[in-house]
Amino acid sequence: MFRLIRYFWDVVARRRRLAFQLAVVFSAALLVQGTARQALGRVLAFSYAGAVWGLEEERVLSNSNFPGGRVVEYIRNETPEGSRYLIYRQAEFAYYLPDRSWIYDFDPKIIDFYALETPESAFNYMQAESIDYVFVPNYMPATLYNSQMVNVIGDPALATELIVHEGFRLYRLNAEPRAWECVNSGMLAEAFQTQIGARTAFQSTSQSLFDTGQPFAVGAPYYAYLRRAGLRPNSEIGAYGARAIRSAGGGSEIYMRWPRRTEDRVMLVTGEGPTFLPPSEERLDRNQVQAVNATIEVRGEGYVEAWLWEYTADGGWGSRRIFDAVVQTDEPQRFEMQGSLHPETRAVRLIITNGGAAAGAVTISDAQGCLVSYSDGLPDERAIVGSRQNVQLPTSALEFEPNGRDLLAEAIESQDLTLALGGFCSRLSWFCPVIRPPDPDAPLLMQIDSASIELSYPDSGGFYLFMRSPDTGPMTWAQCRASQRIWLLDRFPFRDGTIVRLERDVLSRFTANEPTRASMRLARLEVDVDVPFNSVITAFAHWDRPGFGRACAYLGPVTVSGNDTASWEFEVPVGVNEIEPVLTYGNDLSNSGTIRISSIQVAFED
Amino acid sequence: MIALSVLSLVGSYQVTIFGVAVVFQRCGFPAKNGAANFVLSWLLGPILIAWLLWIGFKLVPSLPKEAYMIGILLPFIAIPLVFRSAAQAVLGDLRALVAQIYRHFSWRVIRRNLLASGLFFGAGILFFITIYNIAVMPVIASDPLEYASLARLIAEQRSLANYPLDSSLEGGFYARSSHPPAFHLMIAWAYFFEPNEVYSSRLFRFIQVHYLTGALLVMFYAAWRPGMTGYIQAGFAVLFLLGTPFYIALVTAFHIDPVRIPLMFLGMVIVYCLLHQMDFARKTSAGLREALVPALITGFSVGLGMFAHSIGLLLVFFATSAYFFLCRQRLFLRFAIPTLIGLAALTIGSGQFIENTIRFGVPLHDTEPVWELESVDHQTDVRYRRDLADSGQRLGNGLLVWFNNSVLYGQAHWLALVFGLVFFRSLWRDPASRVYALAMFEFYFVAAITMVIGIDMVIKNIRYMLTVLPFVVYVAAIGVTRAYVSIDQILLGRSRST
Repeated sequence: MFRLIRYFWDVVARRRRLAFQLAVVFSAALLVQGTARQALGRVLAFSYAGAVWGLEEERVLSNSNFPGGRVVEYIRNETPEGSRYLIYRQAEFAYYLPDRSWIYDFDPKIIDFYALETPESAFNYMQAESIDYVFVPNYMPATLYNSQMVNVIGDPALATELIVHEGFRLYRLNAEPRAWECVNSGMLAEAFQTQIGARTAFQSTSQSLFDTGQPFAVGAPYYAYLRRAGLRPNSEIGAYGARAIRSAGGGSEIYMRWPRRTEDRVMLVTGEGPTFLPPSEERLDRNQVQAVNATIEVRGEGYVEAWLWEYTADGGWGSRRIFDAVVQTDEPQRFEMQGSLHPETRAVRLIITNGGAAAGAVTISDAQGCLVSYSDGLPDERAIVGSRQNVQLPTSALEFEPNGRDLLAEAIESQDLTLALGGFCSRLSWFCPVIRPPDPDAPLLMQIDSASIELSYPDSGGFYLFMRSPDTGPMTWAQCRASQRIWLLDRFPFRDGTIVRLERDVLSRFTANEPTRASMRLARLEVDVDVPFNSVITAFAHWDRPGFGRACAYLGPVTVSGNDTASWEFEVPVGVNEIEPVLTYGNDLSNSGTIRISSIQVAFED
Repeated sequence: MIALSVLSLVGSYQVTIFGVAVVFQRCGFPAKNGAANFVLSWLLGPILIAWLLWIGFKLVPSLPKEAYMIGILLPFIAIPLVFRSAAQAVLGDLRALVAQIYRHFSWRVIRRNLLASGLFFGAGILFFITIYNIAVMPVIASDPLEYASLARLIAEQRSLANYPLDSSLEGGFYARSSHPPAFHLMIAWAYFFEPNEVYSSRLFRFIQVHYLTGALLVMFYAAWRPGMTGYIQAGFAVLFLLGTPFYIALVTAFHIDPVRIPLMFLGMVIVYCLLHQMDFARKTSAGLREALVPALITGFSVGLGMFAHSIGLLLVFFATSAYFFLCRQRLFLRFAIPTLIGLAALTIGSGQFIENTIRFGVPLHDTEPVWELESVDHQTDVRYRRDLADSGQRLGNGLLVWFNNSVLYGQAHWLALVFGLVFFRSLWRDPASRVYALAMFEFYFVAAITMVIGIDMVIKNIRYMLTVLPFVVYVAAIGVTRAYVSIDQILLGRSRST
């Protein structure tokens, strides 16, 4: 008996031990899986076996995952062989362009250059050294921003930005200073002041970003966005270390202070509304405007960055850093910067913000922004390369749930306020907001004007927001947040409550396309479906658009029943040969069943 | 054609390794077993070639490359012919090792040793993914591109006249890096084998393959103990090393660090071998005479560790202090043997440091004349960009950076800290742990001191902080294995002899 018990105990122990060993192996695998994931990610990003072993290493230059590779490729193919370069990073030049001639910024031979005090003298120095181009990596080295070279490459008269890829830039030093004028536009001036002024009335007399014209009350609440790591962008607006002050000379200045916290950003933003939307309804005339130029004077201590955000006519956006510097000075230090614009850009913003993760406190004065129009009328030279942040549309988040709760109906039944934007909802808009406040008796304020809808009510523990498309089921706030489509709303504390602002631009951005300069051709999407009851399928089409990631077109809803074919015709730019259709499906939520899609076909007409 | 070049390059490494292993075998140090000597020689092969190339380029520059190739390889081919019995012993032990490994590939053994098998299986997968990465990745990282470019210049000129390059060449190339040029010379050696005088990255990839393999072999050697627990311990060690994403990222980006880091570890492993041997010798009243050859071999490997990179200078300090503090001999030997190690190491590895002192006034530097300009203020820029602006950041993102981001830096540091503290007594009883823990402590001590006095040299570059990774991995592996054994004993309800 004892032996039997001992035998069974051993069996159990062995099994437990086996399970324990497997658990240890599994835990170890979990601990080290990061290596495998990263290594496989690298292989997927650079599958270059053939190139490496076939002596075609330079093919990597055309891989968009190689930061700056496209710039080096451009230099190799598009700049004359006898050119001379000032380079702020040598590695790519030394390995992939060993036959070119350059001056490295660390080279002691140009140590005198760093003592020059004006951009003109720096420009002349480089001309004397026969420098034709300036190659800058995806950050600004101290040798650049702490010398006058930063003001040379930032001045459209002295230098022209030719190509940008993942922050790497190539500038051509103009043989002669190039005449340009500052186009007077509200995009960089008044709109910004409205933003920072938080509806405080003031006048603007110049292109200044921060010349407020009249004093602010110190501590006035809404002149900077705070982007806090992990929270919704622009979710909190408050006096988070930014305030307008009057300088001793009577001019206006912005004082920014930020604590030590990774990814916390205090942003001074031109234009209105969330940065994911164009700053205003104004659109740039690209026959006139080729670039953006800005000048700031900074003093204090901190890591300061300037970003250029560009928006296309149809809702696409991209951003890039055009300036970054560590400032440590009591005397104002002047920086000039420029950014060439993508051909499709129709609106821009400038954002000045803190960088890195260190604490800082700086005062920004005499900030000016300009839309650059060259007087010589030469065509836009910037090469279009690389990808930018995608245009994200909320289609993929709209998951239809058969037999799910009809949250919209519930909201209506409980007599919560339902907002419908009339014509927008049925014809133009993808979303209609439905608001159900947590406390039905709480006062709800609503204001609709030409630009936005504003709702406010006491902030007593949050609120529910349901978003519903005309043709599919409702989407909850949680889904909205989980799918990172939260930029649709601009929400911020106001007095004792919360303001939720739904930008009207969102509602119209997908339908109010302006004609682009690219010629278009017709495409046709056909989908064969089998549905058990009358249903609606809504289609979107995505395609790659160099320079702005993905483009998207809203193709609209089609009603189908039984074995049916839904088709859409739409226009894509010439040259687009591949599209990715996104189909969403909806019914009235009272039915359930299975929808089968047997084929999806795309055809292009020549 | 390229296959032949690959075979030739790998063959040159193997010839050198075998030659060193035979010498080690003949001297009976660092190990008695020929296979162990071969493993310990693995990392020394390519760097010994680089060191000899350095001497060749210094003494007789600009000869045809074949002259250097023959001049370097011929002695290593001759060594096994001279010491035939030692060579046969190495070969015999290697054959026995291979047979022993082969026996482990049976289902019966795997089933009995499920945990160790699982760990090695996981390590094998990671290893092959990494090797595939090395084979197909283009060279895009800044430092490797500059190393490869400078190596091309050195290989073309077959001279070190332009090293360090403190004045730009006609085309503009400028590289004032003053590290001992081991990595450059390894790449140059790989270029020598390129067919048709092509300077591509195809062959110098094998440096990374070689040093990754070597790091794993040495880690296995250090962590392995007789019995199944020893296999588990070694399995954890190689898995944790491979499971440090940042380390593998450096390997696949062709950085210098995966070369220098295992060499530093190897230096300390051989110091442990010396301590072990001398402790044994103490029982037989052996003296300095018996210690002479082992100490010189230790100094030789420490010197090659110094030659790998400027930070290798610390290895002399680690090695000599480890011997001084941890040996249990009379005071004379506690001074004499570290002195021997130090002298041998400096003889091998101090050449570039001496040259730097003559040219720049300091043995090592990490600056540029332009950085020194007050108007440029490079140091402030680095501090802000690398998030080292204040003392809290310098501590969190500098000294303790490895505890900061386990996704990037792996779990080894946390495991070493937690299990090192829990099983502190057990670890302290392990003499090897004491050696590696001391090296780890000394490194962090130096980093902390430099940080406190405002010198960012060690903490500003996260790759420098990687120096102690193998030591950390070793401690983590021992600690985790102790934890496993303890739980296993509870599960079994009885003490296990293994």
